[in-house]
Amino acid sequence: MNTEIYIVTGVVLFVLGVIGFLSRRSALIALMSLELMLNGTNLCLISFSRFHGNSEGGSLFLLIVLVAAAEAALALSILVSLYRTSGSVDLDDFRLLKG
Amino acid sequence: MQILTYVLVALSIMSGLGVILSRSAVVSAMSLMVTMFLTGLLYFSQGSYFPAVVQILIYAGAISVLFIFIVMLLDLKPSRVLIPSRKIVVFFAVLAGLFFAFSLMFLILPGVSRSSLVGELMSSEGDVGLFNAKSISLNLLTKYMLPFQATTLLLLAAMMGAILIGRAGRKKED
Repeated sequence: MNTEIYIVTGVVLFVLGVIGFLSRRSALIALMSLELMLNGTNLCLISFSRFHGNSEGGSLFLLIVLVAAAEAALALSILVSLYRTSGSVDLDDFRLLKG
Repeated sequence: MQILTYVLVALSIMSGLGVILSRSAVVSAMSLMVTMFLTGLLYFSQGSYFPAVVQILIYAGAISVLFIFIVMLLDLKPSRVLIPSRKIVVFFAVLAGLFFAFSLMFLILPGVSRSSLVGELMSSEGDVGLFNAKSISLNLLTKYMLPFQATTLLLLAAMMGAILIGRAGRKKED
């Protein structure tokens, strides 16, 4: 069993997501990086669960996919309404709470 | 088998790099879709078939299509959006046609499907019994009953929230 390669891939995808979330200024790319992070987490979860011969990881995987789908739909609709009001999706432009 | 896994790993990391490095949002969304799909293939090569199908259906099928829709809806700055030239379009069209012909070959030619690539992708060591629908749903309905019920509330709230946010934006414009 070569579990390590899957774990390494999951960790690399998660780190790529973190880098993208912190470095890109477009809100759309930040959301995509969020999905990338969840993807890496799922890969690690399934691989560890397989390694231990335990099927509970599959159930948690389903729950995470559900939460990711709900989060994507809601965040993207917020993004569209932000774009309608301010005309940009740049994270540096949103300073409504700063006063 | 091992080589195929390494190739899938390298391709998925490369397309993950494409998500965060590319200038245009369209390319990022497409790379995200490819990453999701390749992760699904990694689940296949690992022998966990049910997560692979869920990954390809929901992530590569629904979520990344949602992202692509939003990219097209938002009408980002035209200088940033890459308009592909004719050569690139023709290249990818030929690539997709070759892929289609290749996968059609498995259906038409007898004996090919048994022997080669598909059987190689589905590893022999993968036990179908670990992540099947029965064990997963048994877990969800016994041990994880409360989180499972909570997701129904979450989905309802997300749906109503998305509708409300969309309506509020439109009402302001009128």
